[in-house]
Amino acid sequence: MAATMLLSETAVEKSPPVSNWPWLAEFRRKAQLDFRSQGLPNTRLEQWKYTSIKALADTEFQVDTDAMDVQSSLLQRDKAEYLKAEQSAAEDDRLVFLAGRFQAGLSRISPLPPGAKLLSLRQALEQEHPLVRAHLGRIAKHQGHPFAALNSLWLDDGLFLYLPADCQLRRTVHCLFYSPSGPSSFTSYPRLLILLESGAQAQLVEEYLGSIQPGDDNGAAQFTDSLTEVSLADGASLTHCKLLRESAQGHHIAGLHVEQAENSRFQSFSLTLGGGICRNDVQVRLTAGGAETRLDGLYLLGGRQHLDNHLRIDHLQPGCRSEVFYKGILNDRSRGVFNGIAVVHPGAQQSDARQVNKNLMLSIGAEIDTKPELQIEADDVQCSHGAAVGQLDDDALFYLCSRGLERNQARALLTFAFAREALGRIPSGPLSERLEAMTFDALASQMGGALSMGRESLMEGAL
Amino acid sequence: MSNIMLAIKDLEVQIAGKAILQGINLEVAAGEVHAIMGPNGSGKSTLANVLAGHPDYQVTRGRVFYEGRDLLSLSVEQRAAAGVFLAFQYPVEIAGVSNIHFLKSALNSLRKQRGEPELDALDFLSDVKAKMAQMQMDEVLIYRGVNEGFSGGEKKSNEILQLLVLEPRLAILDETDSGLDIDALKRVAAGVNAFRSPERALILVTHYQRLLDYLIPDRVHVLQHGRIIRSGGPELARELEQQGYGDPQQTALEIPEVTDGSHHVVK
Repeated sequence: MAATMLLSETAVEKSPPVSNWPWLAEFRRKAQLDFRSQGLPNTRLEQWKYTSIKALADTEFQVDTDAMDVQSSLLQRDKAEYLKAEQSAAEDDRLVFLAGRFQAGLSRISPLPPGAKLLSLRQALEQEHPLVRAHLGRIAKHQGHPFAALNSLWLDDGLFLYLPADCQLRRTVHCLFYSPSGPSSFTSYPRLLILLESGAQAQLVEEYLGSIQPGDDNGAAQFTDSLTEVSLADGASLTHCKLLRESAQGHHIAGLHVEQAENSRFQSFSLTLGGGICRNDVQVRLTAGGAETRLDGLYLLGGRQHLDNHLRIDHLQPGCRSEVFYKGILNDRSRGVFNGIAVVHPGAQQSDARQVNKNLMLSIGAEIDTKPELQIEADDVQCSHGAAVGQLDDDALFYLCSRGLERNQARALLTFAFAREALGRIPSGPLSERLEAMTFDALASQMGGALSMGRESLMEGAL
Repeated sequence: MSNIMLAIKDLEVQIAGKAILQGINLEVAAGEVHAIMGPNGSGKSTLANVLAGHPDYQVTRGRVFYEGRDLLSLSVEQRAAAGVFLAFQYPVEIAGVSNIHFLKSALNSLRKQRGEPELDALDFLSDVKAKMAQMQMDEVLIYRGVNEGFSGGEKKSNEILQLLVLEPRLAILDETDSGLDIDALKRVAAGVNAFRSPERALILVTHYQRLLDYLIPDRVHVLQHGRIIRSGGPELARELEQQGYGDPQQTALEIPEVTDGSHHVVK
């Protein structure tokens, strides 16, 4: 009989056996204490008011390696899909993870510029890389983030990327975390540590992919608790993409914690196309003048999916800029939560903070709770925020139908157009094309083939 | 009269409980051009919208036959597939859907509803470009979002481009001339004239006579307070231009005052 445990059970002796190094054992012990002092969050907490993780907390997850074998067999089955994906992103450096574990055989890392490090976190831990020791847990705080503490407690593998000053990584680093839903429940705790020295530049894609086979939606629950730490030194720039394509049984709680120095730039696009209970916690600290952050996102929710986007940007010093632009499309009985807050700290004059969240409700059973917030403790700032919740425009529907489009086709077209405004914020290139095609396909399957005229035709023409 | 394309009989229409059309009778034969003129609020645009199937309007009485079919029983897209086209007074801007994709989807949807095969993409594109050239439209406009950021004149030209590409049999132009300078008006009129044929009919809804200098109608109807109060040949439009719709005491038209309309109550 396979051993199982609940998320709340945090005995250190059950911790993955890689902590041969005293510092890591100490790191875990501290994480365990940090977790115990908070426990799993509940809906009485303001930050978790709209997101109940009770179903997750009550799920028994397997902790032995049998489950890993099952995952491996599912991987064999789905390999053809990988090869396809491989071709579509031939220019990328690709790191594939199965249930959180790095798969060297499916990965490809091209030669790196001098001084650059790109390897799995497990390898980095084994090499006892001084940079990992110095920076792991430095940016992501456990307090107020119990799932960050849980990740630190169980972390086992993930990504380590380091770029020395002025180093530019030409290829996109694409991390694919694959967690197919099989007969048993499984957890994974990917950890990503990204360190960019001054003037360094990189592009990173974090993709979380659940079952490719539609039948797997009936499989056992999978849970991913990922944590990404990003440190950007002066003038460094990271373009980041978070792609969430879990199955209905794929639950996902992720932290993205970013610290930015002077004139650094962080641009992130978060695309959510599938999942069970999901949450993205994004925390950005702008610690010196000229730092700029841009968080864009799009979510397409259907079925009984739940997605909570929690964003916090701290303007700690004068002259920083932040911009948040999230759009959502909610269908069926899905539920969305958006809570973005920009905090302008005392003395952070000439801060520029903007936030927009727009939602398109396609079904009477869907729900969105949206709350963009500003907390301003300086007097010379430019800040704005706004939220919108609405339905498809009747005049536009009439216009399209009067030209012969069938009603469901017109609805699908307007829905895709709504999504496109968000997708248009991704810098154009192979990635934006891939995300647009992916969104189109997800929308087409959700709208029952109403977009049957084909994506090539819809992609035609610049907008 | 076997070539009657459109027959409107005793049509009464309300919007939000307010009576707008109060008994319209009109017959349009294939090959004909009819102008519907009248002051603001007379019901011209309501007539245009109700024929296209706008959901906000309620038909409370009367019938409309189009090529022998009961037009009012058809959905908006079925009317389009049957060959009815409305050029909008205020074309809707749709960001995120390119003009070319919109045209192609519309045409393929019409063809599908009629049981015809889809068009070849290259033939379609060259056809659209030729028609844009005819309308003197900038080609970049087909790659922009539908009407997105178009000038008033470009929007109206775009409506006529759709007319030329979709090739309906009955076209209703709702104040297509409003807001156009004289050059744009001539281009639009030239486009519409190119559309005219013995198999097609046109209804021009307009406030002014000036469009009718370039698009000569067979019949002119004056709409006031929801009724057609006068019909005549092209000369009627010129008469209206000189004398206005206005007050019956000051014109020779002797337009009777309507006193029983509920629209007098709502002010």
